[in-house]
Amino acid sequence: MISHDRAQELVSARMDAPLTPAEHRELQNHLAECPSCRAFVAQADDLARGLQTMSHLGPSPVVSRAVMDAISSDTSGWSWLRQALQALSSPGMAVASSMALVLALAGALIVALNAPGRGPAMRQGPAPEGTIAAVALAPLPTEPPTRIAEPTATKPPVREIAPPPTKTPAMRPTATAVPIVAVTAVPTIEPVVDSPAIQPVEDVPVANPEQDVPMLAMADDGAGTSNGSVDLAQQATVDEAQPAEAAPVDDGADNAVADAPVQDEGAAAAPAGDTTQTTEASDAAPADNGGRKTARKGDSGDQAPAEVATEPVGPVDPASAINPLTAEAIAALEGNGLAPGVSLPPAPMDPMPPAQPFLPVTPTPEPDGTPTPEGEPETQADAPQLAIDTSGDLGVTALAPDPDPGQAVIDQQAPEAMTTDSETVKAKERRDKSSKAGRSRESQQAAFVQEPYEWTGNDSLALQQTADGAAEPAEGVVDANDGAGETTEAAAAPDETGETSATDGPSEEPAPQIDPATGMEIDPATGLLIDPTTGFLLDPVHNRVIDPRTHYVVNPRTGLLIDPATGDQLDPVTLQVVIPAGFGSDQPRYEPGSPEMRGEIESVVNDTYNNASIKIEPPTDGPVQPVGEIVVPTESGDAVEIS
Amino acid sequence: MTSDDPDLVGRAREGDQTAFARLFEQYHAPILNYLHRMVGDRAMAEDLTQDTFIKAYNALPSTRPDLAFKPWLYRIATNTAISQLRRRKIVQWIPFMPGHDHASEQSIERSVSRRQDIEQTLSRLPQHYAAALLLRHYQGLSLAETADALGITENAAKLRLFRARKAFAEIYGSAEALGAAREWEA
Repeated sequence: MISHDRAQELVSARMDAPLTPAEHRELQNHLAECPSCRAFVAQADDLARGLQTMSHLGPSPVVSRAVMDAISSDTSGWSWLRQALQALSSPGMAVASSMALVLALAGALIVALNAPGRGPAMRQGPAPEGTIAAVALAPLPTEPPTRIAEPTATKPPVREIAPPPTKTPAMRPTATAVPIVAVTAVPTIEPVVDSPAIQPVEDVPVANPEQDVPMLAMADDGAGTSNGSVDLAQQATVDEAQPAEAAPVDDGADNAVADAPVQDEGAAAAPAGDTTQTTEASDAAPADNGGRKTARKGDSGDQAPAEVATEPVGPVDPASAINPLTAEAIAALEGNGLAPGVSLPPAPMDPMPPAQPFLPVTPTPEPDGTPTPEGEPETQADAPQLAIDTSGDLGVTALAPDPDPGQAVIDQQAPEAMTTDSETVKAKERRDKSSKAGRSRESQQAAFVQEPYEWTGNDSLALQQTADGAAEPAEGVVDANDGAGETTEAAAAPDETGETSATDGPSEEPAPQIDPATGMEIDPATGLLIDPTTGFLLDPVHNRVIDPRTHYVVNPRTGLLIDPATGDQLDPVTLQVVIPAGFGSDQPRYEPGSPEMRGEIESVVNDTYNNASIKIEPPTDGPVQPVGEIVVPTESGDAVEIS
Repeated sequence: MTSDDPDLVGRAREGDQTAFARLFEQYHAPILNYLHRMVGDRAMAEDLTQDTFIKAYNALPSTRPDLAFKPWLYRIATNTAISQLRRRKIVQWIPFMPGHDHASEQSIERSVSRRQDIEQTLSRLPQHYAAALLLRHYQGLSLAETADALGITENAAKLRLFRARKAFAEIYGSAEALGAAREWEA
């Protein structure tokens, strides 16, 4: 009998490669007697199946654009190394390059050793004063460096193959280093070497950068074109007094500037003055995702400013602003139905618009009980508010309308229709979502639903009296003041209605039936009392509050409807599931009837969203959020750490 | 690796951008998905995908001609993701968003719950364990490719997969027991 570890190891190995017959037999014998290893088999299978069936993302056009731009614009940076490696990969070129390199190094060594007193000066480095004076008094080289023409000619453009940086300082100290400059065969170095050191001496002709230009022209005829931006940049750096006017106008430089979407002189000059800096910047650009950010922020394939700053100096072909390779890759993705930007995650919606009604309550129906179309959407100011229940009751009187007199008019003009087919469909969809929401929400809802939603106290007493009187048929229009003034404060509200009905007398509309005991209107359809403040139906027999539109039971403590199918608590207007404050805990934090209740709900919902595995901004209203799309933490350990 | 890979890789190694673009098209989505599962954030996964391919592009010329491109690419992605995760110390998981199918609601609920449990469990594993499991089961790499992608031998990959599965089973089993207890209490 093998051990558990061995058996589980075999189980794992079996998932990667078939076992030998002996191993298979051993494993089967062990599994037949070991439930824990059988459980391991099931869990490992769950893992494999679960991972295999996980969802897959499609290709990202954003990444495509960024990567294609990065590799297609890689004419600077390390591309010179790539080109050099490719060039050296051919045998003939490798031999030629090696020989040229050996010759160049040997020549440089001979010149350096034969020059009297130059070796120590190069190694030690003279004082700055000596350097300036020596350079100022030194004769200008009048001949091009013909000795090193051979290696220069075999190399790619001088601009791309930069010399080793350690050699550059060695050329700077003295003017006698000019021949060495020639040996290194980097004509672009000359203005850089001479100009900064000579600049302080005003009467030295070497300091004039215009005299350096012919030297560049002698060294490389194409430098005037290809390195036009170099000249521009160097002169802008050397002579601040005449940055642009003194610079030789060059078409290539102009093109480079003109093609940049956002052109900055400093940005354009920076890479030109220092090829090493250009290389580093270009190499660093992909690492810091500059290209991707550019691709996201850019309009359509335009080069970003950051990329422009690190572009190689020289004339830029306007036609190459959008790389054909990039365009091809993007077109391929678009052909697959993945247009750029399509897969971008949606922008978060603004949470909690201020104009949203505050825990809307179903408006009171018309006194005659005739359902009419819904009125205009309520605004923040018009929405009925939860009032402080001074009596301490937990009944429906906790839900009081806005004391604004205009509100009563609005409420009376906006009764709710009865349940319609569309509402039934919506309710079914909601139940579907709720069933997918998982156990966490239902278990929390269960604790909430289990709370009593009967009203108690005075309301119960009053309704009990109402129940006694409700058995008696209402006898037409009666004086609403009879016996109603002493019951509840809410009962005083229909007084006016009763008076109005009485004074109006018989009209084309049938007069509402009023319960003589409570003064409340009787719903002709159900025979239940209509709460004048909320419009809910009061069922005194079962001590329940019924929503007239959906016929769902109302939780009198929260004013929310209780979906009989799922137990969800629903907003009475939108019928969306509401997460009350303290949801999931044994003791909800809200105070029944408190005007702060909605704030509590919103804060809890926000906390819930923040702690949820996936954050969904409430599209319209804080507490009205489909629970089916979030996972509600049930304990502190379920909180997900997000950086 | 498809039959076109050696030629494409060879051309890409020589600097053929079109060849590299083809390789990018071929491996773009798998690498993005792998990184998405590793880091749990799509935007970050896209960034890392971009980094991965740019690194690959820059490093291709210095690779050997017999390079196995696919595991090599996954190795770059794995290193990039682990480096990023170590830097930011992100512990996050993305819930499985169920698609529409014709299964019953109950089976959907069970399936979603199980997948969520699996993803949660995966997020609690050490990164090198999660990487091994994702490469092997989510990306469908063979054992040899997984080993190559992780930069270890096949035997070491086999051992790592075993330990990863065992660690997964321990966490997953405890979560299942906890869930059952909760349901019983409810």
